[in-house]
Amino acid sequence: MSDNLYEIKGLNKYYGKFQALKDVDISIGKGKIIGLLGRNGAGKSTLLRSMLGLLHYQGEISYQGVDIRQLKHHLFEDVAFIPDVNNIDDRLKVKELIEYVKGIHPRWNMEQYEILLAKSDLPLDKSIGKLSKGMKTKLYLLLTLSLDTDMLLLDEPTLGLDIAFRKEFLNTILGDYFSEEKSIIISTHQVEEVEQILQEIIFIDKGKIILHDNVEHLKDSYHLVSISGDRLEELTSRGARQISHTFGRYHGILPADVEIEGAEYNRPGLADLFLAFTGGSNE
Amino acid sequence: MNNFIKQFKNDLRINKKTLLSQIMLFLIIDFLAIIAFFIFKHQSGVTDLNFITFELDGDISQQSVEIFNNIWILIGMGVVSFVGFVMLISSISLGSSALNLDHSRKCEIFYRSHPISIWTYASSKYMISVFVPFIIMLGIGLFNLLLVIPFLVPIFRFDLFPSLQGLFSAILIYMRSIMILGSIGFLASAVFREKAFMKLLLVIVTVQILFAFIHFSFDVPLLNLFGYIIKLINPLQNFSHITNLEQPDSLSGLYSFLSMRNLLFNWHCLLQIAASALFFITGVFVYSRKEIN
Repeated sequence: MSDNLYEIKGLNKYYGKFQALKDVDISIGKGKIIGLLGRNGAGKSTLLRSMLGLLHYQGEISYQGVDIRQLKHHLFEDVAFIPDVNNIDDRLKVKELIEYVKGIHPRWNMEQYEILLAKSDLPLDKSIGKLSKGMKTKLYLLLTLSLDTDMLLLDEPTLGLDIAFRKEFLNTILGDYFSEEKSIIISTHQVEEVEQILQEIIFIDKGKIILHDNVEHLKDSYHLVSISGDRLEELTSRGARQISHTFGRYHGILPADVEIEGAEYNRPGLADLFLAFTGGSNE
Repeated sequence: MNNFIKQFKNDLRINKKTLLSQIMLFLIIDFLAIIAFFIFKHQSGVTDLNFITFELDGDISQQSVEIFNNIWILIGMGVVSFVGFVMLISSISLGSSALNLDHSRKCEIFYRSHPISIWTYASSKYMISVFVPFIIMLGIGLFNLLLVIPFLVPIFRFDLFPSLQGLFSAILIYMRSIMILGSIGFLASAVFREKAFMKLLLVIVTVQILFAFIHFSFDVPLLNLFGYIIKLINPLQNFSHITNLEQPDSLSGLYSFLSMRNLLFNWHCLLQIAASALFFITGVFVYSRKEIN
């Protein structure tokens, strides 16, 4: 059996003539929290949905050494998925949906469920359609975290939620789900919020994986250089990426081994690094 | 099997409102019919409803017994006729939204990202389209029969067996059409994401026009697609050889008319079952090829 949970080789995905994923190769190990960062339409959702076998694709995706096409729906015994929380069925009552998931999922953990339920303030008899988005998020979390799955894929799960719920969401995921045997992939726009908890990062741009690295290693490999407003040329001549101009100073990302005399150095954030790698703008 | 039961239970809950509203409709109609009956009775001043000309006292001839039995067969069929018709429409509606409603409500991805097979998921939806209308028809039919018995007993000498025979015969006749229409709707729901039945009709009309064009252009025999479909749906298709119903004393032929051979054990019924199975399997196959976004 493979040490990696997921192995993806030569993954390509087309929507008509549009190529949404281009030769994607990734390995996902155990006990990792991985961020998937990309712009709108970069292929994040397509990648996650392909990993779940929900989309047709070309290439190989295996989970624990077995092709996911062979695993079919059994894949979901090991892999849980939270897309936008509005994908929850609002025709049912809270307790009815819980009963459904409890009934069909072989890895439902009753003990964990009772602990999580006691902590939550979910109204079991209420129709899901009448719940706020925050409460729907709590319900989705309750359902997902009550499962003993080895892998959790999160596709922009906190989109449209206020900051308090986003924080609670991530704390619950970390506190009640994550362990050394489990892995999480989080696709999100709010990279600053998850930056502290990520161990690995994947940058995806126009369907291509442009970087997959350990977060600490990546941040150690680059620095954010800041120099006075009349020394722009020194930045550009050294190949600085993501140059910006604020408060009369120029800032840019440079490899950690490249130094400029008299400059200030800071540790770059993932957002800076992402923009540096994808050639984006801070504007 | 356990997963199927869970999925079916869940689908029943999802369709609870639709199904309950249909049951409520029938109950309201029953209630209004009872009120109308009493208003009629009160306003017409009729106290004795025994206006049947047969002599009920003393010896009842064999012919009279047969006529009463046939009347109760017709009553049994009658109480289910409207329910059956509504359930036919309902099976089209439920069938044509079976596999695309979750998608249009954006919760398909929720269900399909749980460990439940496509066959289990689709079978449950199919059963909701075909089996549940049958159960409602059976339940409401029996209820209607129980409801009319007290009103009709003073008029016709009651016999339970013929009334149940009429009821179940009508249910079986409707069931065959429900099975086909529900299955066609199910197939449409697998092919089209929205307005499935209308789109399927449009496809059939287009193909029929194409056949007509070929027929007129190349002088080849016209393939009547609609005719074939109607023949397939029509549960009385295999009854065409029975002509005695058109004769004045035809009521005596009801027993033979409603034989199991005519209702179930015939080639047309077998064709309907085979076609339904084909529509179901094709529907699941088409659906399994679709992406979940």
